[in-house]
Amino acid sequence: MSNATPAAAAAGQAGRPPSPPRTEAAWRRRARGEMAVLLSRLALVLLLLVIWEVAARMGWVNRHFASQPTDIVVALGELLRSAELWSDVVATTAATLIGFLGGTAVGVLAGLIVGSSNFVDRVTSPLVAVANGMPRIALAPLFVLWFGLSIWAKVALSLSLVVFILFYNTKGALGTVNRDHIVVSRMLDMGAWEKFRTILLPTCLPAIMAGMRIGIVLGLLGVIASEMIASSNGLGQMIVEASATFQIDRLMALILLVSVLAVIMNACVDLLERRVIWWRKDSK
Amino acid sequence: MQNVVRIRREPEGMTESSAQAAPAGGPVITARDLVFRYPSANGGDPTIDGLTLDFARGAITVIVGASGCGKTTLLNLIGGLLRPSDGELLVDGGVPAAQHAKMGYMPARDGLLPWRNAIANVTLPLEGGRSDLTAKGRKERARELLERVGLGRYVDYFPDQLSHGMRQRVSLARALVSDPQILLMDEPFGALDAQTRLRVQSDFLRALENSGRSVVMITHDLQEAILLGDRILVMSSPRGAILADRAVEIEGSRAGRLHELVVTDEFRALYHDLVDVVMSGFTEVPGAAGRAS
Repeated sequence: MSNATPAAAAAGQAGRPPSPPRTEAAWRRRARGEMAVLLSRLALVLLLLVIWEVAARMGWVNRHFASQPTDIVVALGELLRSAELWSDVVATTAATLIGFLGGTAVGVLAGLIVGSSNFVDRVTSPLVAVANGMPRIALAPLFVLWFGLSIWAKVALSLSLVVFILFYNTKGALGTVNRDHIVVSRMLDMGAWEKFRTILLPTCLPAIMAGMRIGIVLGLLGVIASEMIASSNGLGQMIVEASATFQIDRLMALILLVSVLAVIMNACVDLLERRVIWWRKDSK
Repeated sequence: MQNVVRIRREPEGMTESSAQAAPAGGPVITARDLVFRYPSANGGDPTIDGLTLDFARGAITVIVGASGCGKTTLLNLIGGLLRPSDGELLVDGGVPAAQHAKMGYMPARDGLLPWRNAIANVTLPLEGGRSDLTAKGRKERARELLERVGLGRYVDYFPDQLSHGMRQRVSLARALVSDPQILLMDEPFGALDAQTRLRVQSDFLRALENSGRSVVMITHDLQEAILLGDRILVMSSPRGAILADRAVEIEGSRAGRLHELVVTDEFRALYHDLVDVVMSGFTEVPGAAGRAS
C-alpha cells in the first residue's frame, strides 16, 4: 500500500473501488497493491487458524469445547458428502427466500402507503413501534402453534424480522424526496403513477436496497432460530442436534456453512443492488 | 464596438423595448390586486399584498430582491404551485395551474433526476402523453436541445458525472424541450462560480434571444438582472412591494458579449442605481429565507 497514489488511497478509504488509473505504470502499481491486500488477507486467516490449531493441540483450550480447524475440516467433508445435508440446505434457503421476499414486498408497500399520508403515519406509528419492539424470537413457539412444523412457521418468523426494516427504510426515504423534483412533477402535471415511477420509487430504491442487505441476513437468522426452536428439518435443527449430541466439530462445520450461505445471499443482494441503482455505478 | 445600455427611469407603458421584438398580443401575465398569505402565518402580514403588474410578452423580466421578499412566492404563484389568497392572476389569459403545458420551469438547483442520463432528463417533459412525439422523436428533439446548449457530446452522462454548469445547461434544455411560450426560472445560475455563470448566461441568451418566449426570472444577483433582463423589477419585503421598475435596452445581441457589457459605464450606472434602490428597501426578515426556499 505504501506505493499507492494518494488518490487511490483516499478512494480506498471511502470503501469504494478507486477509479481506473490512466497509465500502464499506474495499472501495474494498482495491481501490485491489490495483490498485496489479497495475500495479506489470506495470511491473516491462516495465522488465526494456526493459532487455534496449536492452542487446541497444546491443550491451552479444551478441544472438546472449542474443537480445532483440522477436525472441523474433516467434519465438513463428511457433511458435504452426506445426501441429507442438501435437503436441509434447500429447506433453510427456501424458507429464507420466501420470508425475505415476502417481508420485502410487504414492508416496501406498507412503507410507501404510510409514508405518503401524514394522517395514516400518525395513526399507525405507535402500533408499528410496539410490534417492532416485540422480541420476535419469542414468537417462534406461537408461529409453530399456528403453522405446525411446516415451512410456514419459519417463514413467519423470518418475515416478521425483515418487514420492519424495509418498512422503516422505505417510509424514511419517501420523506427525503427532493423538493425540486416535486416541483418539476407538478409543473409537468404528472399523474400519481408517473410521479411514483419516475421520482418516488427511484428516490426510495437506495434505502430499499440497504434494507434488503440487512434483511437477507436477518431473514436467514429468523429461519435458523425457528429451526432451532422447533422444526423437522433445516440447518438450524441440525445445529441443535449436533450441540445436543456434543459433536462440536460438526457444530462448527454447520456454523461455517450457515455463514457461507449468508455470504452468498449477501452477494446476490449486492449484485441486484448494482443493477437496480445503476446511476451510482461510477459517480465520481 | 459600442455597447449601449440605455436606462430609463420610467417604464414606458408595457415596456416598448420588448414589444418590438415580441409577437403581437397583450401582456402574457397579468396580476390585479394580487394577495398571498401563507396559511401558517396566522393572522400575520401577507407575503404579497395588493400587487398589480403586467409582464410583457416575449420579454425577459427579472425580479430581484433579498431573501424573503416574496419573489419566489410570486414565481410559484405564476407557476400555479400556489393559489392567490385574493385578487387575480392570469397567465396567457387563464388560471396559472391550467397553463402548465405552455410553461417551462428551471429550478435553482438543477432539479435533474440523478437516475436518468442527460438525454432522458431532457425528454421528461415530452413523456406521459405531454407530446405527440414517438420515443425516437423525443430523443431526437432532446439531442437537438442538448446540442444547442453545447452538450452534444454528453447526452449519455448522468448528472453526477457532469459539472454544475453542465447540469444547469441540461436543466435549461429540459425547460425548453417542449417549446414553451413562458419560461419560469428560480435563481437558475445562483450556484455557479462567476466564470461558469457568464458562460451559461451566454448560452441562455443565445437560446432565448429573438425566440419570442416570455421569461420570468428571479435572482438576487443585480449583475445577472442587468445582463439578462429586458426589464428589472425590484421587490421588497414586507408585502412584496415593487420598489423600482427599470427597462434595460442593449443594442444588438447580448450573448457572447456579457464580459464586455459589465465594464461599460452604462452598466455601472444602472448597477449603482439598483444597489441604491435595493438597500433603501432592505429590512432583514427573521426566518424568511427558510420560508421562501
